[in-house]
Amino acid sequence: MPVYIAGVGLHRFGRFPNRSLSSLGAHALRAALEDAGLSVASIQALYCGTAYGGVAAGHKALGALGATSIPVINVEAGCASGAAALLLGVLALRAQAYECVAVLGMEKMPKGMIRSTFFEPWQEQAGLAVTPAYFALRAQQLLREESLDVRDLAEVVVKNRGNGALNPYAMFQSSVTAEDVLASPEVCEPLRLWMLCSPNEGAACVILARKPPPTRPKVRVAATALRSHRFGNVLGEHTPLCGTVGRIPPSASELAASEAYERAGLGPQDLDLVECQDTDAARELLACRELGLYRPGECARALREGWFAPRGKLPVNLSGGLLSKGEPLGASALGQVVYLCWQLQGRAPGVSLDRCRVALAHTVGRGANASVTILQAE
Amino acid sequence: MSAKPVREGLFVTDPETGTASLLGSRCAGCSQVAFPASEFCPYCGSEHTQVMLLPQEGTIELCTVVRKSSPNYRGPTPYGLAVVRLTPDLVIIAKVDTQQVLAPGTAVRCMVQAVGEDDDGNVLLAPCFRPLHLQSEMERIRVAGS
Ligand SMILES: [Zn+2]
Repeated sequence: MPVYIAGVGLHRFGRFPNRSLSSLGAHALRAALEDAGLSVASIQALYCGTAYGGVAAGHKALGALGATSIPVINVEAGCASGAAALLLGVLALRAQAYECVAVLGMEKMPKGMIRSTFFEPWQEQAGLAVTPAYFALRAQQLLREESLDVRDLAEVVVKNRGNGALNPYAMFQSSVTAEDVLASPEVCEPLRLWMLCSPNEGAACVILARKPPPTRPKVRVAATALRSHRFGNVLGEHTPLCGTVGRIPPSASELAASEAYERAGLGPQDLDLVECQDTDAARELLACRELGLYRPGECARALREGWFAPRGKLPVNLSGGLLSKGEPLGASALGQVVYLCWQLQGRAPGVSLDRCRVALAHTVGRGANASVTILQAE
Repeated sequence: MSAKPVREGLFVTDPETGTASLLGSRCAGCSQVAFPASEFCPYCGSEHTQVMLLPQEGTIELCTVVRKSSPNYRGPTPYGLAVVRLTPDLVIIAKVDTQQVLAPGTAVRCMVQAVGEDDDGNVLLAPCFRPLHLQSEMERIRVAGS
């Protein structure tokens, strides 16, 4: 039972002090409906992903288009919230419960160092609630395992910011040099400030339907997988205080990737484009390994040969990634899906790929939650 | 005004030496060790767990440095945050008394550190590992000074 993307819409990511969360969401929803050539009356259910949006966030956004009495389900799954909403929409269509649903992701992130309710108060008091320090430890582990150094991390930022400079929807539309990145303030060794993405605001919307849209190239959701973690990895995104040595279980990202590849009947070798979680520069390289884009120990070679560069054999974060777009938690996964849909339909802003038939979107974060979505042009 | 741990059941101290032992729990079912001590096993879900003292000494696996205070943290900065290996099978996340990244393999010992006060004026105590070379240096100074 195929599920097609009927239309997509985006409110660009950035900081919008004069716009409410509902108005960001309504903007993306209107844009997606217009893109699909549908009215709000065609939508039979709304799934809304947001982490900080509060009670009935999706209801309020839909209300701006005229409340239609459809079921509205608000979903939270950390950085994968939008992907969780997408999964629910896809499952409902595959179950033939509806013909057409809207999937919305939106967020207005608090400013400054996010005081996550994920940590307990005693962890804050004990100095253990420092999110970038956990990113830094994970980065150090990756550098060691893959024989990389801090300059390799800077080059990831250079690549993504270069891509973002060409994307009119990016928050940062300027390229940077490795020297600039390395000279930015040290946050936690080895991470510099410019190696970390900025939490921000935005919204993205995808209209899903059981019938393909009549006027656009057909793009279907080949697979979407959402997984949480298993216990044992001390550096897992569930941010535990302990773990084992030697018998580390597969990560949530690895579990989601293998499930998505299996469901789609595709593998890493079939991909033309990947958008993955680059919360920090090292996280992108780790995500690429978890997604099977290079084998363990092969990262240095992949970077040296430019595999993930815009003209490489498998471009990664051609949109500029979160490092250029910023990260509005609930919206980021669907922002990837919107961008990949544009590429698959040959209408992406900025760099447009000559050939793009299969594309993969990946997010991972607190929970832990990880999502992998594979889109395929027909 | 008195001193109290940031969390009950996190560690026990040895008043003689000033060292501390973290409290973990071992699962009767799968024998995995968890920290902090937990009524259930995060690996298998068993409710049959027993509190145990974890080793006071361990070695640094990975280490980074935190330079700024985070919300609700009133202890000294900068400090290290590290993955510390306590047994061949167990690694934990721990605060470390250092202003620089410590090399993997550096030996550390669990101590207790004051990290500010709570709203009632009690001094809050939290575990903090100290490099053994630093500690022996301080003992040498203490002996020399006495
Ligand atoms: Zn167990």
